[in-house]
Amino acid sequence: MDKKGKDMYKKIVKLLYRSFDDDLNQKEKKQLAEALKNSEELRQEKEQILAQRQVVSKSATRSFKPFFAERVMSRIKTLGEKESSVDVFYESFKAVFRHVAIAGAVILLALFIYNLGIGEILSAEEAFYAVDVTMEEVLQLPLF
Amino acid sequence: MFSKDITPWNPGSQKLNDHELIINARNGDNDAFKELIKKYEQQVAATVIGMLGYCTEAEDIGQETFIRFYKSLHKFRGEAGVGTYLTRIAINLSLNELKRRKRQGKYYFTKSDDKIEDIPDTKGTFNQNNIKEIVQKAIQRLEPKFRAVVVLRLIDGYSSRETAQILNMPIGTVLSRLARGQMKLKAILKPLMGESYG
Repeated sequence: MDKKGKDMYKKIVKLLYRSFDDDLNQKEKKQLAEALKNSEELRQEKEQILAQRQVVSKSATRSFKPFFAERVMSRIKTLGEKESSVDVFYESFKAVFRHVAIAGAVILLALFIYNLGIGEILSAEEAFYAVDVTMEEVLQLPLF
Repeated sequence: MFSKDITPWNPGSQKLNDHELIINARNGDNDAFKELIKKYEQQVAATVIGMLGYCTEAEDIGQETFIRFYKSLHKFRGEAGVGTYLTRIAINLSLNELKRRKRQGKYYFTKSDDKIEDIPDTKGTFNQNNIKEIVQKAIQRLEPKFRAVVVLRLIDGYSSRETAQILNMPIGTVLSRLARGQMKLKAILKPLMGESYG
């Protein structure tokens, strides 16, 4: 077979493979039918493709080990428990933190009011003792 | 299609269809979900084992496929069938697993992988079991991009168009990969199966 013949054969083989998975147009169908009629090699190729497709299809393993569904359900249950334990932790953390946050806010408010009450302080920094002071100054400050 | 306002299953009725099973599973009925697993286990197994071979990872990926489906039950609208939806998850997880293996240096795919070193030489001593084993191993020798189309089209039995939708690629790509995949498979199998195979 010359180069042109080989190229043509390759093209027909591709068409043959495609014919199993796609609808060929009329021209392609005719071309393939003609080639199959005239070539024993191509007819063998077609038989081999068919045989291979059947063997591959039958080779599939279509099940996991026994009790697969039970194992999946068990993992889903564990997953649910894990998620709910995270939820419980988050909820308790939120509940505890809420009390701490409220207590902190009350202390800050009380401090602010007290400082306003003793007069002379006008800025927020000073009201919350957030002014730039040294540690010694802080220690010397009378708290109440 | 699968909105929450649909009336749940009436226990007096006969066998449930997928739609009813999903509604019930969404409402917390674990038996309904288990029923779905049993119904689609074979399909998922064929896809995952076809892609990864019969190994522990295949079972893990199979389980993960159903767990992902369980987590996304509320999002499932039924545009695709349950089987197709599960196959899409299974094939994506399998391809990810193959990428992971490649990163770890396991089963690195090169052209020389068309060799057949670890497939037992069984010339002349065929039976149904070792043919199955040989073909499975030969499929494992294909590069993932060819393997995915071969598994979906030839093992799972999806049409070329469905295969293209599942893999989210043009149908022309699927057709050319199918042809090349089958040619490669033939090249791998031919020395083992001898003249009887072609």
